[in-house]
Amino acid sequence: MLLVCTWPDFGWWLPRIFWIIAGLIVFILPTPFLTPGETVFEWGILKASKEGLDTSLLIFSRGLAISTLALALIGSSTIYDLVRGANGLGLPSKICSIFWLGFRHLDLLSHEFKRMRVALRARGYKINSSLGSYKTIARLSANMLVRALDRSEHVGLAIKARGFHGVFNSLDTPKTTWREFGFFFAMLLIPSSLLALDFWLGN
Amino acid sequence: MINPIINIQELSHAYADGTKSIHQINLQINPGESIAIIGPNGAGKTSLFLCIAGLVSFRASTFNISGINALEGDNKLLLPSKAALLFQDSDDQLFCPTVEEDIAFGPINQGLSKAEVKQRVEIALEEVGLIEKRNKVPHQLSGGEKRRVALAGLLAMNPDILLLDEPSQFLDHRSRRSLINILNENSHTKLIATHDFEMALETCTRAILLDQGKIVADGPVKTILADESLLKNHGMEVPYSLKSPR
Repeated sequence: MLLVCTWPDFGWWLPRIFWIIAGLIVFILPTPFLTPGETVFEWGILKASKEGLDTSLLIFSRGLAISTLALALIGSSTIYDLVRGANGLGLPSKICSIFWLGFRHLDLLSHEFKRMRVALRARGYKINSSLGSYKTIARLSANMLVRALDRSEHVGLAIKARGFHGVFNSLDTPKTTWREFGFFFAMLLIPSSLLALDFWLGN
Repeated sequence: MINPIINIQELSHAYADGTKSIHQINLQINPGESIAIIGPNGAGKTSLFLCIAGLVSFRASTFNISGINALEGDNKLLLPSKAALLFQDSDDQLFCPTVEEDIAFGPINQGLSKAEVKQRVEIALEEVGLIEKRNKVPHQLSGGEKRRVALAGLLAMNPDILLLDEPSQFLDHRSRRSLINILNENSHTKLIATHDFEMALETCTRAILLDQGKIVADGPVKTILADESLLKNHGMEVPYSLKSPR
């Protein structure tokens, strides 16, 4: 599914999936040695149990499934489409608006942060573990908060200046295409088939 | 006699901490006038615009904007549709995912039909010369293009008055020239707060000098901007093009 959603841009998801797998492996590595049960193999004083291996495999599979689903969602849609979709699914309009505006202005704040960092460097500041350095970082963070507040006030006024009254409306109304219907039913068919197979094999 | 499009008497505004930004201002502006609002930083130019656009609380004995008495009932809420404000920093004003959506934001809020909104967006894009940028992400545009998109967002609301706060700030020569041309081709009533006196000379016929929240001078733009002692007393200088040769 991830492959289909991000086709042909593998460069986007390959490094991400690599770091997710690496993180999951680090997370599940001690589990077989810490879970009591039937010993499968020994490594020095450590004993890996069958129950521990099963648990590790379960955590890994679930973690990977959740992460790839999230990646498929993020990789196949813009943030704006996601917010609009969430709104369509019943998430309150105000929360969607706040999320969207917050996301939009994170970019601006990160630019401001970079500018301020460059300004500090230009005045000979080098980060270290001294009290003075921590004070400077604290001042920088406080300044960022003040700027964020200031910007949020300006944005609030700009929105009001254009007649905003609490609901974000869009020019184009999204319509579900036949391709999306097909994809939805294919996605429904795969787990249903797996469930049916499980049921059939169980009997 | 022409009815003024802006008629303000005894306007006062103060910040939340009580600091006065505008003190007892009287202002009358006729339809179609193009006026430069000049003055040093902190003179009250932006506050005046915020009041005219109905975005902040104020006190006044008369406050008529384009036929609306803003002191009556909820009339203040109607002011953004009559007097559209261009902010100093375009990044504050642009928040939609595409240029087209951003320009459509105001007209949609005015409750227009989609066909009307699309028509207005089309006209506004044409006016600012950004038809080919309609599907671009606004915050990835250049400073000049952002300013033009922000201006298109105001034009699409079809206001009677344009309030432009430092419109040429941070623009390069080409973008500034393009903005001046757009403003000169536009027939709206315009109030332009600016430190760019050369632009004021090219786009405005009248100038109002504000300092410490009060109107200090009001007259033809060339007369005001050529008055060396007046400008010097308020921390400004005569623009290069009006300086007499020595």
